[in-house]
Amino acid sequence: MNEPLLEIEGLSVRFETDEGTVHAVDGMSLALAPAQVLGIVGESGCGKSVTAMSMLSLLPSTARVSGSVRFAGTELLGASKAKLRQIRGREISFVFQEPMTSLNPVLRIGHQVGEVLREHLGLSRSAARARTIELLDLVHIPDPERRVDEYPHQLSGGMRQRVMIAMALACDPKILIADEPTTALDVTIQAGILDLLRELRVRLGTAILLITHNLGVVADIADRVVVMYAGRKVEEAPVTELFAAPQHPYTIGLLGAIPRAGQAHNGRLREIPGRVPSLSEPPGYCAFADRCPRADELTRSQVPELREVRPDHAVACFHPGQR
Amino acid sequence: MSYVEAQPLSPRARRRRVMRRRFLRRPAAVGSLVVVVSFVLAAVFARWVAPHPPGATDFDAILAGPSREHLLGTDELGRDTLSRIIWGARASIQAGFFATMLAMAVAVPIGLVGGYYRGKVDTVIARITDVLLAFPFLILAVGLAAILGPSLLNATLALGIAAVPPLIRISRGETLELREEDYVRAAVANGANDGVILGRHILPNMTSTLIVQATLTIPAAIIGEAVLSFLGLGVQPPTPSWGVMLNAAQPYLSEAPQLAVYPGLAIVIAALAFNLLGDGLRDVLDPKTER
Amino acid sequence: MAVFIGRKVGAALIVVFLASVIVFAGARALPGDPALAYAAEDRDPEVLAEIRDKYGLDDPVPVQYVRWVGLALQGDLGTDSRGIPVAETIVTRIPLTLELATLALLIGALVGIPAGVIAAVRRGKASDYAATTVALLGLSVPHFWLGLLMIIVFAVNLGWLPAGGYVPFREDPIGNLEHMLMPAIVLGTGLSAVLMRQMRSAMLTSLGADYVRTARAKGLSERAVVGKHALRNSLITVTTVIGLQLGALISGAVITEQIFGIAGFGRLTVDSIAQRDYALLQGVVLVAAVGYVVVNLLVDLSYSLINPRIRVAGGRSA
Repeated sequence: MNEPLLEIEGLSVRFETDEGTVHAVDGMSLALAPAQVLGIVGESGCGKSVTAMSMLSLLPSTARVSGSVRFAGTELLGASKAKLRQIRGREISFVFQEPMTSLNPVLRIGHQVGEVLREHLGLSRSAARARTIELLDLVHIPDPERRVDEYPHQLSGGMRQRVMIAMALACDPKILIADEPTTALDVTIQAGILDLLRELRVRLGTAILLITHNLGVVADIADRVVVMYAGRKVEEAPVTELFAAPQHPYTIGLLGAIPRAGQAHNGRLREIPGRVPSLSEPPGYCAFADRCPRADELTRSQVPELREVRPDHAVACFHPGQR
Repeated sequence: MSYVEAQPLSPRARRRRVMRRRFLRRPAAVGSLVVVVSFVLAAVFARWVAPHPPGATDFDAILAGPSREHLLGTDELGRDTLSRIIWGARASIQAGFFATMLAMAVAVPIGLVGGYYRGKVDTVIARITDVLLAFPFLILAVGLAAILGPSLLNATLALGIAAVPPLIRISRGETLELREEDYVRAAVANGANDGVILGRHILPNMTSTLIVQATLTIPAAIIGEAVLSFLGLGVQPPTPSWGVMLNAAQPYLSEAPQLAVYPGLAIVIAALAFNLLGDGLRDVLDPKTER
Repeated sequence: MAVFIGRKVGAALIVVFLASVIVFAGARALPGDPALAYAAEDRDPEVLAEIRDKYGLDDPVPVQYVRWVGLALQGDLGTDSRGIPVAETIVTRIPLTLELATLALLIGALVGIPAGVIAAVRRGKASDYAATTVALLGLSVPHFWLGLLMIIVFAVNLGWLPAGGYVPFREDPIGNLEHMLMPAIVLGTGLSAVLMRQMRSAMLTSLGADYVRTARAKGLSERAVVGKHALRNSLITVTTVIGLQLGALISGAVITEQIFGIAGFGRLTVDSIAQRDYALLQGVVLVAAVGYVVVNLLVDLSYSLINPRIRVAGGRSA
């Protein structure tokens, strides 16, 4: 378990837009071990989805990506189209956030799942169909023989997400990237999807890169957590360690903002004041400074680097720790 | 130092600046704007721009080719083609422009009313529009022009009325969409009266679509005027219009083909310019469309 | 599904009915005395009175309308000023226009649709700008001018193709196509321009959609992504456009037939207006409107069949 399956180093993503350059991701690094579940947490717009999509070069053409993304020793950024196609769907799969629109409305479910099998594993049409039914069963879709011929609009949101997961697992990939897999679903359905992911991880040994803004989801199934803010990593630790001893004020704020039954809040939820900064120009000092209760001269003049402040627990902050 | 950049411009002015920048970045749009303006100016100042009066005949040079005196040659009565084209621009662009204005003035309120209030009024409006849409634009225009009688004014009216049904469909469609927007519901919840809602919330958000549609209707109307005049249902000779000139060119196709080429070219360039302008405006005004 | 079809047909019928009213009223609104058309040169008041009596031209307009509709439903559209049954004239002429329209449709689709796909796939590159500009040109060129130009170049100067006229297919297939080629190209140009733009726009939308992103993430080849996923969705969207373009096709046919001297249905429209032949005009415009509505209905229905979201009712099961 020493050789990381996936290594990202110094990943930066910029977008050229009509209004100027947007720095979506800045100097991101992380590592994923086999069969590990790594959660990337942050609010909307912090760059977590962009990080994930940049791995497989799924970003629009306005994106400028630099850095290194190594999968099992192969560099993915700048890899040839053929190489990328080999890896996509086969070694690394993606489950997107919006099950409603991520499936092609005019093709049957079976066709869309079977495509992956035929393309990567060279299965015949009938073999692919049989395997698809097995996969649908694996993700607990009832009555798979009938469903396989249906169209996406005939399924509910939760089922469509299961189909997406089935599609992603079809070729038994080493890594499954799940980008906010439960955000677009009802809370009751969410639990089912998370159970499914957990079960699949155990059964198939797939590593999962789970992207979410929901700390509850992270607590539920992640082994390790990376916290992102304004395009940078601000904290990283194993999950129990992070929840027990959060170091960065942002993480502390996030944890404090979770409504907990029975806790006295004077009737008000604790929020983090201020807003996410614009990503148009890296400010040259701590991005969180404007909202941070610990801000001072230092944080307003320099960018904090990641440092290990506790065993296996890194933080990018000048004043980390619990108060 | 704070994160919020100093914003000296209001959001609306800022948006306008972004749009202007986007527009200027597109050479096709800028070029077409130049062409459109030139045509309009030439039409308005025809008396000073045209080298010869449109009716001046010169029987020494009939069906002549291009010469220094007559840059584009002459027609069967010795009239200068270039001057007639410039004067013809007047008829054609007037027809195109005013027909479109008329159509918008009629169609937009109807669409607004129907789309906003719905109910029986809307059903009637929608049905009638559907029926009228069963008649192609040019057929309607031809029919109306035949009823009204041949003249530039009647041709303009006919074209304007014929352009109404598709514009009703668009403005009604936009209204239907916009009335569901959150800010409209908020305005209703705050007790704003209908006039304010229609005038302050719905209509301004339709303007970009309407502007684009107008720039695309004008060339259709210009071509329509040419068709009507070509069929003898619009401008009557000797008044020059591009359609009239094309009609007159038919008997001389073998002797003097340029009589057919030049007026048509003028139509094409004018229509192309308006169409490009409309496209460019659409790109600039509606950032959602991926082009 | 049957209810769905029934409702659409019903709506179409209402439209046809209202259209017939408009046609009738419009014809009545044309300036000039209808009796004069039947009388040809004869201005004798007695003859005119006789004509008015014979054709019931003095009856109140609604009565005339009902009589007209009644006869029309039986296939009798009256006779024109020369005594020839209108229906007969129409039936003889329609095949020519249908052939012209079909050829134009083929040309338009075969040129426009692939062009749109290519332009979308190569968006922003030189081929896209070229294709888009050409399409815009196609939209800005008036039919009749293009026709005149083609006559000048191909018939007068090069002598490759005849300048006009028509030869029935059965008599001389090659001659028929020779005569039809230029008119069909002229008519098809506008259509191909519209189709190209619509296809490009639809493809761009499809290519930007989430499911295309999924298809790419699955590792499918670019050809499968574009050709299977994006194209299918776009084609479905574009079919509705074809239906809408039929109107433009009809009006284009009117002028094209005029220029190329084809005695087709489109030309009848203009001729009947010019000759103030009301019976003929009414019949012609009515048939045109009905035909248009019917074809639109067919296009509408076939769209419902092709689009799975409508064809297979979305029954959501948990």
